[in-house]
Amino acid sequence: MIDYRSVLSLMGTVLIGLSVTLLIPLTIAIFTASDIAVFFVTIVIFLVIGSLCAGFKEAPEIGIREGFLFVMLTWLVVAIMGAIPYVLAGRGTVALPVNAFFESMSGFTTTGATVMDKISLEFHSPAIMMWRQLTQWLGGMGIIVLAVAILPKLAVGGSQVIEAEAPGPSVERLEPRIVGTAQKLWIIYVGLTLLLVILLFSINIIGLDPKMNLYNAFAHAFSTMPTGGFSPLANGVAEFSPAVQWTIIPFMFLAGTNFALIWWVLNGDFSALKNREFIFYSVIILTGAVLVVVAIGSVMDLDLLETIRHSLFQTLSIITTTGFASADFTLWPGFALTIIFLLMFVGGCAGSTGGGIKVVRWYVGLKSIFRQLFTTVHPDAIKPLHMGAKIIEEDVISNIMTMILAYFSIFLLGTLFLQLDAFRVGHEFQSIELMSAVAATLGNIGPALGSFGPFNNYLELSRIGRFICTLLMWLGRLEIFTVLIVFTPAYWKR
Amino acid sequence: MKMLIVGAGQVGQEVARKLVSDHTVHLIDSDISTLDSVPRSIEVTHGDGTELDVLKKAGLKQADVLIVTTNLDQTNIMICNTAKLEKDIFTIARVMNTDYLQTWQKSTGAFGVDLMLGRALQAAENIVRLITYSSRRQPAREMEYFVDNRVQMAVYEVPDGSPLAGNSVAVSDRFSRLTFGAIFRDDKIIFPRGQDTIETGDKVAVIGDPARVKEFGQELNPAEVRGKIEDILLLGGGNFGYQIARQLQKYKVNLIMIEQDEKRARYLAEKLPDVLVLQGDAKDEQIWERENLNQVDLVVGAVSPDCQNLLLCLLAKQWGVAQVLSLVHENAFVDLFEATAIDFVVNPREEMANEIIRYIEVDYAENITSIEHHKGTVYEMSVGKSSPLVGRPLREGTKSLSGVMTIGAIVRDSELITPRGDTVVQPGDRLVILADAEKAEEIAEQVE
Repeated sequence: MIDYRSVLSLMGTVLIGLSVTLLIPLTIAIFTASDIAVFFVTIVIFLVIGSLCAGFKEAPEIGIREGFLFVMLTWLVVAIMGAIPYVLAGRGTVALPVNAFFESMSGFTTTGATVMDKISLEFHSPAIMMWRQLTQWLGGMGIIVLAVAILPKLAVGGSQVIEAEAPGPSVERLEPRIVGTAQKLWIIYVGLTLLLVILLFSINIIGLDPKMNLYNAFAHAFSTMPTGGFSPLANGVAEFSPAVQWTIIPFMFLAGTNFALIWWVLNGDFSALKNREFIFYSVIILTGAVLVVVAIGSVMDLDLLETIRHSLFQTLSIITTTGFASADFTLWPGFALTIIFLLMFVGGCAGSTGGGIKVVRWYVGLKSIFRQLFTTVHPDAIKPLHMGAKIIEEDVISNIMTMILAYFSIFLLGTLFLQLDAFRVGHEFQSIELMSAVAATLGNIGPALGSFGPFNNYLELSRIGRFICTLLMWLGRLEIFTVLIVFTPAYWKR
Repeated sequence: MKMLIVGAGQVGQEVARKLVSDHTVHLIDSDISTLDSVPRSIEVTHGDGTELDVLKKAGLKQADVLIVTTNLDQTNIMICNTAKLEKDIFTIARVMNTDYLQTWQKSTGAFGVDLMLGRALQAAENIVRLITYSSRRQPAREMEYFVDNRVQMAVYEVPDGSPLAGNSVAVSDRFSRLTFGAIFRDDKIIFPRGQDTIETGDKVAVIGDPARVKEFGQELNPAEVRGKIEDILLLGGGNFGYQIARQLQKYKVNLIMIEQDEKRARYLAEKLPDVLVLQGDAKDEQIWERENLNQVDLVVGAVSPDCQNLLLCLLAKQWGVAQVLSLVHENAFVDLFEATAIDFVVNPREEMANEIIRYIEVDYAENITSIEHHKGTVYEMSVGKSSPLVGRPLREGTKSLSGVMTIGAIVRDSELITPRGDTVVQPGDRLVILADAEKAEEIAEQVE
């Protein structure tokens, strides 16, 4: 039997913990004297529901099975509860619960796809917009990783739930204790975020961009480091000067890198950079950027530096699943759009805040294909799969191959469902629009092509279509299996 | 000197037998039956060598050297450590695991071991040398370098149809910078003179300039143009097989291994990423066909036990493999292996015993190497002022020693001088001498 009492109890603890983070938008609300009641009520709701759930069991303990339920349920409930401020504030499209749920899920899963119209600080309050940015930052490193790092109640069995939250092949242990590892990951995360805030704000101070005030510096750091993609400005990053865009480029790169590598390099171990996934990740980025340079360089009226900036920015933004746009890429030539669409299937590195299939899976998957070719010629050969000095175990390989297949199956099914829904309401989309919308939500990227481009939103989909996309974001963030496992009959049997 | 040897296995016994003529030797083993077969001249103690009391009873106090050759690495290291606690004795330990050896090499005297010898490493290095440095067409049976690699000694077998077969040594002596050291024929060692002939099947030891030694190997067998050894098939992935593969991996060869046990095969494949590890039975003809294994240049048999290894090596030969090298662990089987079609036979235990002896007997000469299963000994030494060789042509100086030794090379001021009858030796010259194994030490004393 699944010990759902423990699961609910722990989830309650996480909700109580999350209520603390609501103090940030509340503070802003108090200073700007708008939406104070919204956040006050939200905090109360978090505390009440959190306490009710936490009371289900005094000393909760969870095993592997409960871990999956705990993680998938926590993400779902957090996304639902995170939608409360949008509904309470009652402004624009996000006042509608299905849209608020979409927006909240998009934030926590660091997707960055939006159904918010009239994006501006004047129409929506600064507090609401900061909450929208903050949800990304909380979800980026993982709600569960955060919970394990600071909630002592979760210290036991922490590694299981962390693996359920990021089931990728490696949550690299930086310390024998999982709590210590979680804390170190958060230290890097917080450190890099603050560094970015300082850099962005100093661009304002030295006079290169007056629009990058302290609020915007925080808002965009809260979006860059978790590879989110939301911006409180209608035109997002495109509204800022090249200096801001150049500053964000390396931070997107870092956000898509395995944080364990960053930790090791900071500790002076530069050999960590020989990591195969990191090298492969860098090669893909460079290749993608060069192709985009070629694609837009000949057609568009840009000088070389601009071409490089837009190409590099957009390639990084898509691969790391951030979803920022330095320009409206939907206006780019077909060649560039094809590259952007293909890059949507890459994803960040394992142990990064990026989503998607992830580079390590591609690395192992491709190597496994070559191995299959080799063993067909040499049927007696034993060929372990090496990744640098490491050996990838057979069950991990099979898990990776299955995950890639599952990912593409869901991509195909998702496209089919969106098309059926579009047909139902009599809406005509191009296939690439629907496919890119599924790829962008399942991969936690955000903006897609055509109608769902970076300067548009997902409101053209029907409510059911938006709900499907919300589920895709949830599936994608928990790398599919953690969600699907709970829906199998075997999970609930003894 | 007094020698304490723990472990009366083949290596322990062989070392004991060789040392007993000049030293007091005391063997310790926990198995009383193995001690029964030890000659009377060797003292024995029955007991566990890891216990200090047993070591003391065997005379640790009076001993100068402790040699530990049990089958367990950890035990060997532990015994050395134990002995060191009692007194500062020179300790020699043999280990299987190369990782211990690497750790030991990091600091002198680590683990309380003064000399650590890798069991499989020795054999592996020997095989590597045989196949990577010897001549293209005729790999040497054994080889060794002397005087800072200026002089090389190699033993070649004279094959059927060799142009040199039937010639006298004098005729064959047209090779400059090369000396015929000895001819091994039917268990005998012959120190050749001009009129002696070289015959098919002889094993000829030559000493001289390394390039010439190589050329000689080619000359022996010019008809058969065989490519360089590039593809090697290793049968058996046990400890020896693994160590050999590890050594071979460093060279430009394509290495294929066959290992029957699936888990072991996977372990090997993980540890040796550049080696093609096949999981299967080495006698499975289908694997041989699928992988074209009979096309390899060399098969190395490293299967245990010896009998299985012998049959598999012969099978490889039967299926058309050009050259086969086999390991053999039992001393008793060595001659038998040599009598078959197998091209090279390497006995790791013998190599180990040699290595230990070489180290201990370092006092009478340097780089002492035993060849052709202890029939001959090659070593290098400096000539003292009072040596009977000094100041006279070699022809006269070595008269009393003829028939038991050959001076293979002289190195004077870093220059190689090929010794001939009229060469005059000067004090300080380095000599490379090949001698009858039993007289080697005596000769060294006389020459000095």
